[in-house]
Amino acid sequence: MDPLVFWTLMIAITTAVACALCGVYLVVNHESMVAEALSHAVLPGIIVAFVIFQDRSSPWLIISAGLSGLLMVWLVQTIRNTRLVDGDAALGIVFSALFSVGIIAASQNLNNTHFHAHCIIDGNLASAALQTVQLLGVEIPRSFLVMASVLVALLVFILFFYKEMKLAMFDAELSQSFGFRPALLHLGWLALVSITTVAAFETVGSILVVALMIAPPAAGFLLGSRLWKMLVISSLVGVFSSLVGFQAGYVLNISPTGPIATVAGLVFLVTVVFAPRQGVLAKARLRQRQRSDLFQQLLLARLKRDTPDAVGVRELSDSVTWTDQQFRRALTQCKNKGWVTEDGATVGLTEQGKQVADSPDETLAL
Amino acid sequence: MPEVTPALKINGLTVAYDSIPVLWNVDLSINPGVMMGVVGPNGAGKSTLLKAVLGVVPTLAGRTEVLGKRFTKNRQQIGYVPQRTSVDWDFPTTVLDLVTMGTYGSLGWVWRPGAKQRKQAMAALERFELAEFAKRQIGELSGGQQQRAFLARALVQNAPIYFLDEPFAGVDATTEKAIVKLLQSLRDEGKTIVVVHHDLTTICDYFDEITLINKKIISTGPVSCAFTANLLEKTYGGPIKNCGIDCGFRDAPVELKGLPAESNDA
Amino acid sequence: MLDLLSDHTFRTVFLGTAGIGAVSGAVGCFAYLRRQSLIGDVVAHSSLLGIMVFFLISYLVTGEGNKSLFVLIPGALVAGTAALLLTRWIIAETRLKPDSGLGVMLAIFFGSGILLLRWVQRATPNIPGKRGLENYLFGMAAAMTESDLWMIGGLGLFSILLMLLVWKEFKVFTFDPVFTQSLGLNTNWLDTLLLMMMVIGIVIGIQSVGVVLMIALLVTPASSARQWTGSLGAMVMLAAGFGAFCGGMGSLISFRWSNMPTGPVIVLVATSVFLFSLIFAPGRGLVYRYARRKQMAREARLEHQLDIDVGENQTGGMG
Repeated sequence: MDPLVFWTLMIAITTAVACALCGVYLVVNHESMVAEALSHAVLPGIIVAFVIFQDRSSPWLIISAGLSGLLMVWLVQTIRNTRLVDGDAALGIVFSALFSVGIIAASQNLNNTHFHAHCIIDGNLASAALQTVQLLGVEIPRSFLVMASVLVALLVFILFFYKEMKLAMFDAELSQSFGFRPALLHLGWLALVSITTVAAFETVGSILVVALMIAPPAAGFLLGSRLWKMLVISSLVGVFSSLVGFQAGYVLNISPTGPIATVAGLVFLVTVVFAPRQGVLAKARLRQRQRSDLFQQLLLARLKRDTPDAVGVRELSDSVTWTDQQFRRALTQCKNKGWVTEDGATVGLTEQGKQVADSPDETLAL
Repeated sequence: MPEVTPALKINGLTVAYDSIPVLWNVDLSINPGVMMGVVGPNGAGKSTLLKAVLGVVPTLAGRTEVLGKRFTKNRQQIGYVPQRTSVDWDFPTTVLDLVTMGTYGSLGWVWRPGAKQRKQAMAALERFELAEFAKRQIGELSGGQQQRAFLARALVQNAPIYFLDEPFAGVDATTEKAIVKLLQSLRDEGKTIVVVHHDLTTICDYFDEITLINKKIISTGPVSCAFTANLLEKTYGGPIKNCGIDCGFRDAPVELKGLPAESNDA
Repeated sequence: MLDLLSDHTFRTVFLGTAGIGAVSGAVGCFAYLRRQSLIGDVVAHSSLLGIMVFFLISYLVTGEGNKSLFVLIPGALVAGTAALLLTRWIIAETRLKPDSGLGVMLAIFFGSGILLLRWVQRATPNIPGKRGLENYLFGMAAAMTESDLWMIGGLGLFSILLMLLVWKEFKVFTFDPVFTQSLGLNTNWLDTLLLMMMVIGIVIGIQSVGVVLMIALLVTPASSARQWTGSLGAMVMLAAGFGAFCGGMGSLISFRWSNMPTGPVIVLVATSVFLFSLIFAPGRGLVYRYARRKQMAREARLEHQLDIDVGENQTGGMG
């Protein structure tokens, strides 16, 4: 494999995994849109550092951008604490304002540099592998090193605070009473998410940060029942989307970020429909089966109450007030199970039917 | 017994969220001019019962008749007071506006409330001693005043039947007594009042009839018959301490203090 | 200043951005009060896909890509609505929360919109008319033509008229949806009408403010207006006023200094209005609150000194 392609793919994969790890916690914590907000709010930090240091690869860019991400988190929290503004609105106001500052600053000082709208949204994944540094005698792209160290930091944080983060998300008050400082943990985590956003932003642009932080974890949320499973599945979905999207971008001869985002979204949509337990299809099947049980039990209950022995079909179907079709189906199923006898125009409960009607509780969890 | 058209007649009402039944085959009949308490543990489907009758949650089966007519054709007959915490009290609207909302149903689409509707709203506010707050933003009211404003909103609907969902939650004792008095005076005017209620100790003082519910109807009828230790135990799924209520409990009020109003296991 | 006002292009842009600001400010109040502020972001981003698809359709039909708003805005409407309906479906059918549903839809629609945009820019053979599509990202108010103004004005007027017509229903539904349903009003219809109104209020602004920043025009004036008044009517009118002011000021500034992009300038004007409102609004703002707290502390001290032996005359609350 061409080393350039290899390294580009490696960058894409590490970015995808790092974003997925961040995203799982955001999705579980009901703050997915924070990813969108952060991906905008880091811009002024990047621009300011660039104006000062005039060097795209300065590590100050990442630090300054991370700080402007934290500034957003702090501003949003401060505005929310006044209780004068709805929380979502505060988020929208702050990130759009910070982003505007960034754009205006960029248009003042950086005409004819790399900071075009293009870079902000798309990043420059295709050329990210070109800028390399020597490490142990190997030429390694700088972007890869940055992303890899961010990924390591994330993994360390997660492994170290796995239990605390889980508790903080599930029950912040309990966590507080154990002395775990959930607010501090949350802030630390958001700082890390902010750094990840910046590092990823540089190579894959704002749209892909959002896509990779939300879509794979949302899919993982529907596929995995436990937190660690979600982390693993989301990372895999992220990597898969990157590889397929990268290929698609190559074929279309465009920057791979749009395609990667689209593929991640499509994987999510497929998951929504086909996920084995949480998917729409699986749920519909389960619901239909439970509904059918429910209707049968309900029929027995009506029969038992209205008529200990037998009653006309017409009367019965009137008293249950569902559609004729539902009534007919429930009646046939009850008959097949031997709970009900139908004799001409009258229906009656069998002994077995009476027993079932007496204890609907187990099947229905009443 | 003379044949009375029940104010509310529920037949075979079944509601399921995602196929898990919340209300199971509920039959309930409430006579006009009755103040009825609906009591049961958390998750017993008390609020759902009201909402299902109002058509706010979809029902799986069942039929509801209001004053002898299908409810869908007789919607204006029920005034609904939701839980106070279900809305955002920071919403920019005045107390008068809030109460005027009660007339929106009878106004129909597009038509605006006029002087007549505002007069109705003011009258309701006066009855609930809120007239002086008419121009205030609703968030400036205290909890008890908010609850009374909600009641006033239902009052202007001028319906023969009222549904109240936990009207005493987060309201101080004085206000609670005042609200009960108002409800009882409405009852004396011949209105039918259905209240979802939590506090077992006040049931005998407040209500004429009671329905014990835990997904299924456990018992329903006059308080003296439907509110017994046995039935309570069945409703809450466990023995209830310090409680020896039976049919004659009005003569011998029982100590109910240690009662776990919220718990539903032994 | 005067020379600007006599400039035909400027007048068009000024009227356009002020009108957009007014409409989205008014419409934004409902988004704000329903706590759906962020759907503005999703609708705006998603509309890029619709714009690209309709642009490509016009190219396939006529052989040249059409950038008139008469072609692109319907596309934005379709895509924005589709994104919202899909979000609603996902939230209803899965256990994902609204924030994730919105985020994913944003990623899908905006991602594929960017995909198409980049493809159109790179495609061989060349697609005529593709220049300037990029401006939809961050907005280019100067691109507004007189016919665009008609399109914006017509749609804006429509959504405002809709709001006035079903004002009472929108109000009660926004405040208390369950009660509204109990009144017998069809809440599915109301929800759809409200969404439609919001989508229109959003898409008319994407040309001048851009899809990325449109959320600010929806949310910031509404949040500012909320600080000044306790009545919905006044809030909507104030938000419309703030929006118009921001739009007008924004276009003025960016015309005066050519390197100032319109969209971000409008957003920053709106943010300034918001900060001012948050701090100085009477009866609610931070300054008022601070003064109130000081005064209450003083009164409490006085009272404590004057009558130390005041008995408890309040009964305790019951649970």
